This record gives sequence, C-alpha cells and structure tokens, in this order.
Amino acid sequence: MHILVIEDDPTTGDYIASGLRAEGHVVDLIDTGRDGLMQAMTGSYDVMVLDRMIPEVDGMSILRTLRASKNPVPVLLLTALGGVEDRIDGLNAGADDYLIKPFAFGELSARLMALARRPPPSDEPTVLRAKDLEMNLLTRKVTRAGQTLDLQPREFALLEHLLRRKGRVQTRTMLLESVWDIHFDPQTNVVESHMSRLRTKVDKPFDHTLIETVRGSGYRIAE
Amino acid sequence: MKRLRSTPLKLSVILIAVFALFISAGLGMAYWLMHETLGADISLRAGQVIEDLRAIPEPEERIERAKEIVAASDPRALLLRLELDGETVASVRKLPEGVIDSDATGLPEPLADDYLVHHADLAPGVLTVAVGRDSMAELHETFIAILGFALLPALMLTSAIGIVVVRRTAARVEAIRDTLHAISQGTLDARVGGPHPDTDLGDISRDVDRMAEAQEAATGALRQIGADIAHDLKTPIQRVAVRLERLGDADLPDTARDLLEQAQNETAQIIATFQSLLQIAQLEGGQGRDSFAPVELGALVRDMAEIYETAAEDSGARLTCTVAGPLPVTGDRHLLSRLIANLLENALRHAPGTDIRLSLAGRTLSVTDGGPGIPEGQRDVVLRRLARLEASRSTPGSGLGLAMVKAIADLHGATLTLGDAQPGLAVTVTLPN
Repeated sequence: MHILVIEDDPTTGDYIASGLRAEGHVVDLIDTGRDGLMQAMTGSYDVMVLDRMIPEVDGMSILRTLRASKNPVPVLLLTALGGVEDRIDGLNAGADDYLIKPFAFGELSARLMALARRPPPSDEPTVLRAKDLEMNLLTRKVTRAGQTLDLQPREFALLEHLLRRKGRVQTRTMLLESVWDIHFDPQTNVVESHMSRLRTKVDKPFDHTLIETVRGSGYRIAE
Repeated sequence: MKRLRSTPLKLSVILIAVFALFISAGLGMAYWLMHETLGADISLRAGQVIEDLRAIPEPEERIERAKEIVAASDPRALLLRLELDGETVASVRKLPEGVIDSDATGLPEPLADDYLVHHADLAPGVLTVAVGRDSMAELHETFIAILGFALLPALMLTSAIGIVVVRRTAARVEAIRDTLHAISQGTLDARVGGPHPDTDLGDISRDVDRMAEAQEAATGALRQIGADIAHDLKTPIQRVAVRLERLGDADLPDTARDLLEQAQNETAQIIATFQSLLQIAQLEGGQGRDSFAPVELGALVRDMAEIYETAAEDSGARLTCTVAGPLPVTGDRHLLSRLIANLLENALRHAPGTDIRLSLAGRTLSVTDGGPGIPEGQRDVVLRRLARLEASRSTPGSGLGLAMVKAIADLHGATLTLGDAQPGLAVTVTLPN
C-alpha cells in the first residue's frame, strides 16, 4: 500500500514510517503542514496518517481542505488530545478513525489496515467460513467440523467480527469499539475474558486453533 | 410562581396598597367631617323652624305661620307637619306622628333616605320638621366623583407604572439570573447583553458581562495551555513508549525483559492517568454537553453488565444486574457507559470476590459491593482527583475512577452519593428529570 504520514515529531514519524515499511508498505513521511497538504492533494494514497498538531497548516485544516475538494482518501487522525469533543470534532471534520497519543504501533497498523481495506458493501455474504468453521448469518447457526456450537449473542457478534475481517489483526480497543461500543480503555480484562469464553467453545474441543493471539497487538482468524 | 418571587413586584404591590390605603383614609376622613358639618347644618335649619314656631304664642297665629312656611318652602328642602287643637297642617300626609327629637325613628322608605326628621312638642301642638338631605346626597356624589375621577385613575396609573417598572427590572433580573445559570452550566459565551441602562441593575449586568468575558478568555487560555501541555508531554511519552517497544525487538536476557515489561506497564499507567486527568478537566469545563442525545439507560445498564459479567466471574466475584424498566435520559452514551464501567471496576478492584449488584430503579442507578466500604468521614475525599485512601494504597488504580464518575454525573446534572451497603460500598447516581 501507498501510505502518506504527516507527523512533525521525528521520533514518532520515523517509528511509524519504519514500522509500516517493515510490513511492506511504501511510505512518504512529511513533517510540515504545508508540504503535507501539497503532497496529499497531488499524490495518490491508499491511506493517510495525519497528526492533528503540526506546524504551519494544522491537521484539522488539511483534513477539511481534503474533504472540501472531495478527496476520499481514508484518514487516521493522530492526536495528543483525548477529550469527548476532540474526538467528535475530528470525526466531523472527515477523519475515518482517531488514535490518541501515545499509541502502540500494533494498534496503528491494525487500524490502518482496517481503513484501507473496507469491504465493499454490495456483496453481503450469508455464510462466513474459516477452515472447518461455518457461520450462517441468516439462521445464526455456527458449526465447526459438522458440530453445532452454542454461542451467546455477544460471542456470536465477536466471532462474526473476526470472521468478516479474516486475516487482519483486531486489537482489543478495536473490538471494544465495534463489538461493545466502548470508547475508552477499561482497566479490567473485559476483552480477554470474553475471548477466553469464545475460545472454549470454538477452539478447545478441536485439534487446531482458529483464533490466533497476535502478541502485543490483538486477535486474528487466519485466512 | 417565578414572578411572585420578584422583589420589584413585591415592592410595587406594597407601595400601591399603602398609597391606596392612605388616600382612602384621607378621603374617608374628609367625607366624615363634611358629613358631620352638613348634618349639623340641617339640624340647625330644623331647629330654626321649630324655634320660629315655638316663639309664636297664639295657636291660631302658629297655624297661620306654619301654613306660610309650608307654602313658601320647596318640599324637597323642607317638609312640615303641625298638629294643634285637632287641626293638622302638613306638606305631605305620610309624615309620622309622635314626639321624637332625632331622626332615629323609621320614616316611610323614600323619606328616610332623603330627609332628616325632627319632632318637637311645642305644648301646645306637636311639630314634625323634615329637612331635605339633598346637600348630603350631593356630598355623597361629589365624593364618589372624587373617587372615580381622582383616586381610581391615580391607582391605575401607579399600577401601570409599577407594572412597567416591574417588567423592566424583572426582565433584567431574569436576564442576569439566566446568564449566570448558563455560565455555571458551562455555556461560557452567555451574556446579559446591552444596552445596559444607567441604573444599579444596569451596572450589575455590565459587570456580569465583563466577568463572563474574562472567564471565557481565562477558560480558553486554560484549554490552550491544556492542549499545549498534552502535546508537549505526550510527545516525549510517545518517544519513551517507542524506544521501549524497539528495545523489546532486541535479543534480551530474561532479567532485562522483566525490567522492560515493568517499564512498559509503568508507561501505560502514566498514559492512563494523564489521559484521565485531561478528560476530567475537560468534563469539569463542560465539554461534551453539546453532543448530548437521547440514551436508553436501561439497555445501556444491561449491556454493561453483560460486558463485565465474564471478567467479574474470572476474578471470583458475582455480578448481578436488575433493571426495573427502560429509562430514557438525555446524555452522552459513551460517557454514561464509562460511568457505569468505572463503578463496576471500582467494585471489582476494592471488593474482590464479593457480590456486586448493578441496578436501575426509577431514576436511580446503583452499584453495591460486599467489600470494606468507605468510612463515612472519607466519602467526600475519594471523589477528589488522585485521592486514594490509605487502606487502598496497596491496590492498583489511578485514584481517578470515582473522580471521573463524579465529573460525568455532574455534567449530566445527576446526583452522586456514596453510602453504606452494610457491608460494602453503595454508590448511587440519581438522574435529573
């Protein structure tokens, strides 16, 4: 993927750029608002990482200018501010996702992949599959190796979320936001305990595991 | 009801009442005095007629004189009846008989109102003189006219002026009160608005507006400082986190890896505390109220119970949830879920392995646990930022959980109380109507 990163702090910028390059992406790193806006307007990118507080032209202005000129590139806004209004302001200005500093690279990477590869909404499947597991979205029946799994509604939602994003890492906070509509970081192992319930039903009775733990990042169902 | 509490209105009503009372008393006194004088006048005329006739010794001449008087006088002003030696001289038939020297006896109705009657025993002869009260009736009419043309318009005028004054001052007082209320609720751009009249209230409203401007500027500056601090502190914290993560990629001996993990945990804690402090400050500044929308609290409470149920079970606690019914409120869904989450996490942290009950009944949300509770004297302390009781120093946590709950409750106008669950802590949040 071709990714534009606009970040003025050299350590953070280099961290993001080198991390993304290591994952095989092409990264352009810009450290001022004016150059960033020029680059964003002229270049063609799959996804963009934009710091909210940068010199010259600030991140929000860049975002508004892009959206005003009908540029649809997915933008992940990085911010030092984490207030209720800051988040809403960012999303209203046209950001597709929002990440509060400081963040872990795994979180940033997982969110960027989610932004860049949004599935087209036209072909809505009725059955989701991963290896020997099958989830029927109409009958809400889940089977693995021919055996029916008895899932609670929230366990079903969690499994569905992972199946729909097969092959992509889903972090704790991404799961909290999408499956439970929780937009803060709980100090309790909420996700871990739900995941362990789900695994007891989906993985434990079978030979090989379907839901992988990605160390330091989150969870994934392999393709 | 609000109008009745208005000071200018009360003062005007009292003033008008006192004014009306004094005018009425003065007029009443004048009426009484003139009435007395007129009464004395009328009595005097009757007395004159009586003395006139009494002075004539001869009965026949007395009758003659009486006839003269009857013929000469206007029957509206004077009526007379004289009985002497079986002969009666009278202007009208109906004048009563008898000897009475005042007007206390009953007269036939039309007469009683119009005449003052005197009886006199002339020995010989009985005389009844009725003097017309026309002048008294005129007096009455005059006073009614004074009342109608002077007092009532005066009262209406003062009331009208009073109403205008009350309206104007009440409107200004209300504007000042509304502005102060709006500012205290976090709407910092609220103003009383000009032009400010050259009165004491005008001065106050001008000063309120100046104060509001100063506060808005100060809050704006504070917000900017907050943003700057957030940026300037978070960037180095981000660098530390980045370097620690890079260090983790290197080949490290186990002891170093343990230290690295501890350092990463500490960094995470710093970030969490910093983020919470920033958010509490923003909530206390009224941020978030603009995004209020209808939220069904009953469903939210059930969702939160479901989210925390497994984590509670894993930690050895039992979480039960009772919701009496749906409760539509106006608020921020994310903040309200955070409030419930913080209360549950607080219970899980400080009362591990006990029964934790989450319930919503009426407009009251409550979380009770079976832990050690909080002594009554220290309940206010834990609502402060970074406050942690000595007993809980050993347990993890930033000490911001309940302060955040308080800030969110305040933003929603809800009342937060800490009580005794016997044993354990009972936290209740009562939402406004």
